[in-house]
Amino acid sequence: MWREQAARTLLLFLPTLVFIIALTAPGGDYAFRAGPLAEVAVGQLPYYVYVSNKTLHLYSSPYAPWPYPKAIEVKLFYPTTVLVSSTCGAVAASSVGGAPGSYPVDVVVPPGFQGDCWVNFTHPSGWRDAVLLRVKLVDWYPGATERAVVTLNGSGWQFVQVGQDGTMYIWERPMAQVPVAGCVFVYNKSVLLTETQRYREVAPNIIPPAVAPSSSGSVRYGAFIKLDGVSQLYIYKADCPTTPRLNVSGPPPLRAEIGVTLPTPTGPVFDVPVVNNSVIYTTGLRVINYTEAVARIYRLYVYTYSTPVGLWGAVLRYDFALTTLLTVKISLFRPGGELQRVGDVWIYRVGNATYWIYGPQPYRLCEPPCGMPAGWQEPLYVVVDPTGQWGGWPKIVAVRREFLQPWRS
Amino acid sequence: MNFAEVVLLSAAGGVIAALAPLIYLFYYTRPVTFTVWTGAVAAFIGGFIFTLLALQWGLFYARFTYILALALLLVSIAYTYWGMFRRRWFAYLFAAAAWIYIILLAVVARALGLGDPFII
Amino acid sequence: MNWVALLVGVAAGMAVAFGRVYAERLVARYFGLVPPLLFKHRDVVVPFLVLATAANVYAIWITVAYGGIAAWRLSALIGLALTAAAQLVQLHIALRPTNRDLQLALISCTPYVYLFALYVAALATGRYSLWLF
Repeated sequence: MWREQAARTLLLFLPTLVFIIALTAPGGDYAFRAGPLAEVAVGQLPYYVYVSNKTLHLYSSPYAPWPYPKAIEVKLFYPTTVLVSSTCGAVAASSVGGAPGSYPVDVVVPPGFQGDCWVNFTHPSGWRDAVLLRVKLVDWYPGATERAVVTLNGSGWQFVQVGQDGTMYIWERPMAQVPVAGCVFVYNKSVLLTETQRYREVAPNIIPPAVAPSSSGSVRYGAFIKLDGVSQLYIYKADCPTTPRLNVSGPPPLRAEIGVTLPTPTGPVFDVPVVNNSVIYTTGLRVINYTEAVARIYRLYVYTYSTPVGLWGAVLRYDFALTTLLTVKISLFRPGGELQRVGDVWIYRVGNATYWIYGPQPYRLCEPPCGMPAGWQEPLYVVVDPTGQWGGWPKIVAVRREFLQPWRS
Repeated sequence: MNFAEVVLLSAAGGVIAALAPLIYLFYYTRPVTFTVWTGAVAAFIGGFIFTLLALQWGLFYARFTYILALALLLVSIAYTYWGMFRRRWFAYLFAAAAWIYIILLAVVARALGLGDPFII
Repeated sequence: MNWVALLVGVAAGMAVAFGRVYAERLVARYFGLVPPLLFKHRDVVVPFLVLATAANVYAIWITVAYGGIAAWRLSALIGLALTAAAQLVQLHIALRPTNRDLQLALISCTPYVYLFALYVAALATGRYSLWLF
């Protein structure tokens, strides 16, 4: 009798097993499919990553986290989620999935990490897979594939700028061409604070170009380095690091004798420029005062800038009208003192301060009178050193271009 | 859900609606007459249309005429069951009220040139 | 859950169950008796037929829809054959009511036990397919 009772109960229970399978399978009905839960594959990687069979040979940087977007790809075949974890904090996402499909996983190697790091993919049902990251610490800024290595020889603070065309400026004076133009400067094992400032041509088709700071135009990236002998500056093409804004006072006024003597019917007149237009630009590192001034026979484009390192500088550009007049004094820039020629620069010493000038002769007395300058003059680059410690513009010894190579192949 | 699946589900709904009272009547060996078979056909039609309409829930669930049609079809099936149980053919007249209602909706919608029969 | 397979299965199961009660009625009328006297386990067998046919339809959908048949897995073919055999046995139960209904019905439960064993083995070995061999 009890056997009959057991059979009667089983008859109503056994067919429900089929529906129990459907209701309790880990992936729902997808569990009846032939094949694995998910597949982990290598995703899109830059050329400097060597890949061998789910092992990625990556780099890490001492300067910043090194992102490898979409480095791993998870192909999910069930409507479920796969948990992600890594032994070095390289993956921000904790789970991927939801619906069947392909999901990229971003890998970000933390700064300074070196060694092996596992990225584990697990599922509550016991499925698991992993990708091994072999990370090597390299002295390189993350994300960049190439860098310029500039070897400099000099002393004291230098203000280095790189334009988008690769021209390298030191204290606004073009000095060299570098193969990589970027916003990240690494010097003496640290990432420098940088500024970005746009420059625009004030008049077209002048040789050399007459450029001035502007709110539009091409960008120059700038940074300060303190040279002491021969050292190397690395320039990477990467996004600018976030820079705290420094407190920099405005540039001091340009106190100097500026002008030329003009012969007039009533006697000689000193032709002094009158300020026409003046704009202040504040960058992350400097405050720039751009001024256009007008005199009777020339126009003067000048910008002065203050720096957080004590020095300040100026760039003057003259545009003379075409005249046949004669003059006895041409004073393009004379703050006082005696003009000296040292190498390829001119020097004034006024008290403790030293004025370094690169460009045409800034002060000249003509006896007998000489002809007035005509047309656009070469720019005058002025660096003012109030303490007398600065050693002048540095020498650029070598410029080299380096590419990042896979560290194993 | 494609057309074949909709038809298959509606037919399943109709078969379930028609067979449930028949199995009951046969199981308890109640007399089965021509009236009962007629009721089974009516119940099949009612279940078919009910499932067909219920599958369109996502499109029409906020329409009064749609909810009323579903409710009337349920009442129609219930009247049909009563008619099969008591073997009274005029119960099917009450049941037909739901069909008439839906046909009227369709005719009005066709006359007004509307896209679907559920006016409000 | 696949509601189409489930509802179609229930409808087919009710058709089989209706066949069963109809056949019982004919047999009982032939002997001039009421069915409860002839068929002791009809209260279990009739709902069993609905449930089992629904389970058969669902099991066939499981086998066909998700790669078991497409990949020509032996385990899937065995499952399909067992299901078809069980359906035949159940039709026999429905149309030829006898006093051995209970034993036949119990035998026809083999495919469900087989599928569930495959499922448990798949879970235990960490595989994600019922079709182990």
